[in-house]
Amino acid sequence: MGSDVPFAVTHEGEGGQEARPVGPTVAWVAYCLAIVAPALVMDSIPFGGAAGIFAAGGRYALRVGVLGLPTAVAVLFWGIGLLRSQLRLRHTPFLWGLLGLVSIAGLSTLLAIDRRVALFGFWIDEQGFLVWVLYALLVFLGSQLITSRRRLVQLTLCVVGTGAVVAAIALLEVGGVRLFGIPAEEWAYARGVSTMMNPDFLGTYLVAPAVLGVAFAVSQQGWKRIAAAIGTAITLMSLVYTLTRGAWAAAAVGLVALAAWGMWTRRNSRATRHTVEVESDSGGRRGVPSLVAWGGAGVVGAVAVVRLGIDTLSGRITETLTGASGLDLLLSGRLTLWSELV
Amino acid sequence: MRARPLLGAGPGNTVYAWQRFAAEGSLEKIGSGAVVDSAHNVLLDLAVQFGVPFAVLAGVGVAWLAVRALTAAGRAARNGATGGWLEVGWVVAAVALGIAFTTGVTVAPIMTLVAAIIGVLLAFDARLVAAKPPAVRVSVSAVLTVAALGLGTWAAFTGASAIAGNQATPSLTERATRDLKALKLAPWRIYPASDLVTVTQALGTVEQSMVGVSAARAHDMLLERDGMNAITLYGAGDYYLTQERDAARALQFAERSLGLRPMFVPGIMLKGDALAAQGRLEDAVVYLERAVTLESTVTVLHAWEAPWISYLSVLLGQAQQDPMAAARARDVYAEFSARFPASMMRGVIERELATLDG
Repeated sequence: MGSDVPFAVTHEGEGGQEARPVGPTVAWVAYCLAIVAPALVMDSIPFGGAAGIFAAGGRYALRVGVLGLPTAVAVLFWGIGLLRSQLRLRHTPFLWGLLGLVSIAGLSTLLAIDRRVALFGFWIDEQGFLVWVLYALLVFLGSQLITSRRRLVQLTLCVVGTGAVVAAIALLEVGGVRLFGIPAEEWAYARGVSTMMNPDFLGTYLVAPAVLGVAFAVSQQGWKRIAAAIGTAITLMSLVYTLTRGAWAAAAVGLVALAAWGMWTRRNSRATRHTVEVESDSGGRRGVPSLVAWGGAGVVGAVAVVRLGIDTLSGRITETLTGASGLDLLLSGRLTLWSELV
Repeated sequence: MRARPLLGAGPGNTVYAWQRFAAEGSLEKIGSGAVVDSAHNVLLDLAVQFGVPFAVLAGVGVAWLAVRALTAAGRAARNGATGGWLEVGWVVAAVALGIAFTTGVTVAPIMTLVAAIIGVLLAFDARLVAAKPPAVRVSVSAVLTVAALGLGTWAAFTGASAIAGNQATPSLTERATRDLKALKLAPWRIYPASDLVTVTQALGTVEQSMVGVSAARAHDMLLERDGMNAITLYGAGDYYLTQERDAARALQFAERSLGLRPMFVPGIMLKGDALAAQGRLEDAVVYLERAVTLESTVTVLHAWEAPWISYLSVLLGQAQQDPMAAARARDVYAEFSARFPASMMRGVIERELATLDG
């Protein structure tokens, strides 16, 4: 039967036999491509008549295409690898939950108000059932293909690197350099739009690369650490300039959580100091993790306050505390929207 | 959500749910002419699209998975050489993205990240099912052949469906106008009402390209199909005012639009603009002030600066002769700049106001 030890500890597959055959490697590369490619493609590029192949025909077709094709390749080569005994099926009860969710989504599609839109998405939308199935396939593939710490490192590198590229484009835009002629309004350019074409989407997107970047920088050594730190700094700076409050809060909570983890592991490692391995591996950089995380949180907070201006910030807090509609105003009308949608 | 709690409105159908089930007055609260295709909260989005059970299952499932993954990271920290930083980084990324999603939307690049994060958490939790390799062995060429056949069938089916669909429906506009008629509003991804211009112009462009007619004829065709829709009427009026410089015709369309929806801000603004174009500034001010007053009650998410720009433009035009208009322009500009602090029009208006002072 299966192993009871998580791969993070066992290092299963690292340099092992499953990394050697071409098929599983192709599946893994295609999976990574599917994760990073949609962020590097702008949804405004017209796709002409071929759009209908991927969706109901519209401007999101390119993004859905660069998501769908690598996913299909990854599924194909994963299946081949499984049938040829190059890969083994991995199971967790949560996969049944995933199947349940896909089933509910299928029923919902069958009984939708507009079944065609439910299946393909609207012509400028990307929320059809088929797109949701692609997301579910990516989740499943993740559970099957991330079989070693090395692959976890590679995937993290992909996400952090893509985030840094997207963030760098946005910072250039804030600085007045517009590389791609993205059709956005001036107010949006002032906050940075990058390939997301919207500062709020950009801010939300950058949260995960920022958090992972800090964790990655702390977990690595040498040039990887330096590169990750630079990339994360770019990502964090761009995130601040998006002026997206939800993303700020999320990034701040993430950085604080990482700092808390750093303190916990530090205390834990003190308690187990008799273990020579732990001592030798973490002793020299024990203070760095907390410093990086707290420092990052501090930079984000300080730049955000300066960027927004004290008056604006205090005004918003006052609005929130004094008026019934203050919180709604702070959330740009979302409370009203939510109450109406419920 | 209350209208279809079990299975929701269907994926991508938020806009239809909004139009079909939104309470009386909701449109005016959110923004005149605004069409909502996202709840700006992922759990609510899931509940609206797929039903409450789906949202609960997904939310609880991911939270539970995160807790289990954190436990695995704790074990890695105790036993491994890296302190579990990478593992906990992914768990924290899941939590952070969850926080961002309380006000965010689901677009493909972000959702692929979500899929990657959940996939990683599942990988922490996954165990090998079979220690021994399965007995079945299949040649790669056979699998590739089957896959190619499947892909070809799918492409042929999709192509045939598209051709059949095009034959049954002469153009995209047919479908769009059918939806317009059913919903009374354009079912597109519109946040600010300013996109109405884009929508109606896009419709005209599609019609032009499909049928090969002039822009004016395209709008006429839209009106023939959907002449009882306030947005279509507004779009046609806006076209005639901005492209054809035909203020009289634009005024007619504005009045027909307002006949259907008296509180329709774009229609009121169009009437004000058309009157101003005819030189009837006193009348124009009345309508533009009404448009701005109505617009200012709209929540910030769907705020629309166009009526303000029109109103300020007319006031600045009057200000050369009327000191009262100049004072009013300054007051309106103060409100405008508070409501739209990042507007690209601020510099232009400030220069005009400075000219008045000079």
